[in-house]
Amino acid sequence: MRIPRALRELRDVAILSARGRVNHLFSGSMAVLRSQIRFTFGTKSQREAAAIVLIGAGTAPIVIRFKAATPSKVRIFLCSAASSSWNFAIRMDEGSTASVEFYLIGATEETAFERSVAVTSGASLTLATILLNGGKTTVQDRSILTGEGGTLRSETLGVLAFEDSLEALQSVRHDAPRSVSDLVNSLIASDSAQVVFDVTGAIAKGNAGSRCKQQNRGVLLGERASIEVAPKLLIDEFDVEAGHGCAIGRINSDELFYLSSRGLDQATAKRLIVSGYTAPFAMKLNDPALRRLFEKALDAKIGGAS
Amino acid sequence: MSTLRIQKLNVSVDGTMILKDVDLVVNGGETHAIMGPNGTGKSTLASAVMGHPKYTIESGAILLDDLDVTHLPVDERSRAGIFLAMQNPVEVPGVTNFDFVKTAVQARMSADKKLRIGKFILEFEAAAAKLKMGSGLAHRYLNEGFSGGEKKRNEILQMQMLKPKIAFLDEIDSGLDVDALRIVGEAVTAMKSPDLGMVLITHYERLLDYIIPDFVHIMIKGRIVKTGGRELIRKIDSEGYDWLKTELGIDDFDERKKPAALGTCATKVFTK
Repeated sequence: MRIPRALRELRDVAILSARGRVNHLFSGSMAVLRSQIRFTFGTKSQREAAAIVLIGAGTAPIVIRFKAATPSKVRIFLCSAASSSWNFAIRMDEGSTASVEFYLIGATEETAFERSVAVTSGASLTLATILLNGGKTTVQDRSILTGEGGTLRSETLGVLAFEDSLEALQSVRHDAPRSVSDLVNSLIASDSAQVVFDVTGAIAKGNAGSRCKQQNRGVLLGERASIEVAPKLLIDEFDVEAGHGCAIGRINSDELFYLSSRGLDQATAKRLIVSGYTAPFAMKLNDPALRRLFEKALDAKIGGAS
Repeated sequence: MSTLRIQKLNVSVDGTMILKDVDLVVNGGETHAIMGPNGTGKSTLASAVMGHPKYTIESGAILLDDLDVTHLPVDERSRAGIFLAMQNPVEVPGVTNFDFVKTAVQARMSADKKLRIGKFILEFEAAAAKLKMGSGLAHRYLNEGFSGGEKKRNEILQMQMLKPKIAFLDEIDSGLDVDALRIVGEAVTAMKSPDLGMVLITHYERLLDYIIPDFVHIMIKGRIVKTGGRELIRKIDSEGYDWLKTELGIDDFDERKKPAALGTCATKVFTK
């Protein structure tokens, strides 16, 4: 797969592909070992988000470590034209703060995406995962809050069309008191796309003062599309806050009437409602070229939003 | 100046007739108030004129100037100049208020014209400031997390931005505290002009202290049974709807006021 121009022209970027690697003033440090690839951030201040672009069928497992010296922001683009397999481990040092966005793009056949996250004391991680790839995708996403006061906020956008499928297992476990997790999953299924999303939040005994929340919402744009979400909470402590919610359905007729009553035709109203799922993610991309790349990938999937 | 003509309108919901032979003419520059007990069809009238798919027009016609809108889709009615400020505006997560209003304004423009975004922003901000809606309004998601009062003010803001010819304000007073009621009332009154005809739907006369109607209609059991001026408001204020039973020979309607059902701070003050 060719590297999209918007990614090639990024200033703070590390690009790894079968042809080798390219760094442009990369604000992280990178070590490519035989058994894994290690990235470290949080030691140098960043003027803008650093990017890691990975092209091809996958790499050795990737470990990304965030140190506490400075807050970090990293965007990871996984681009594949065929089948690919990715394995990430994110490790947050005590007191570190980071924002990591994952973008999966490309008309792939099969994608396996595995991620494990560990958040230690006082660390704060904001994750965004944007699934714009095609074909069959399996996701295993496990997070553990290991330190007191650790915070994880994770948003996922899954956009599926045609015969795409997504099977995701997402879990967060609170192994420390006063730890906080907040999971938000937004799913769009068009045509005959199928989604099965299993989400579990668990607070182990002894971790009082923890908060564990999850929201799942999905919109069906195709007659044969389906979204199945199983939200679960496993709570073994009294003094905690926990909640989950799930709303899946076709475009709400009250919403359509409301937008139409302001002069929007059905197609525009539907597009606007669907943009309610995607726009919060698009807004994360302040670089116009990256925004266009996102919108182009989105348009290829649900251009008509019908 | 535009004119909305509702002629012998009969409307049903799920096979039950709600509106019966309703006639109403609203000219630009006029403010009409439709009052009546709960469940008499006031909101049905507003929704039917807007084209809500839940309501079936069995017979009659709705004309906006020379255009018969009776069977037009909702969006075409809106672009023709009809506006409905809703009783319960829906929340649309992820869609910012600004993007929504901008898209709605653009929907009214001809294809060869472009929205002048700078002018639009200034107009939006001025309208929001007038309604005391705070500077962050543009970037908040449409009605999501809005208080009842904020939702109603947001409806008025949209009305200001879309500049309709005929506007129905369906219980725009519910959910408003006394101060918000005054702000909304003043904003709506300031919009009065020969270019806008308004229909206020309300149970309670308090809103009409702020927005003075030219005509007052009383609707009971799906019919407009009496039309008059502000003297009707005073009579309803002092006697409720009970006197209509004897005067018009109508029975079998619940004329009791239900202030608890309104649930507004304004009513709480009113009922003390």
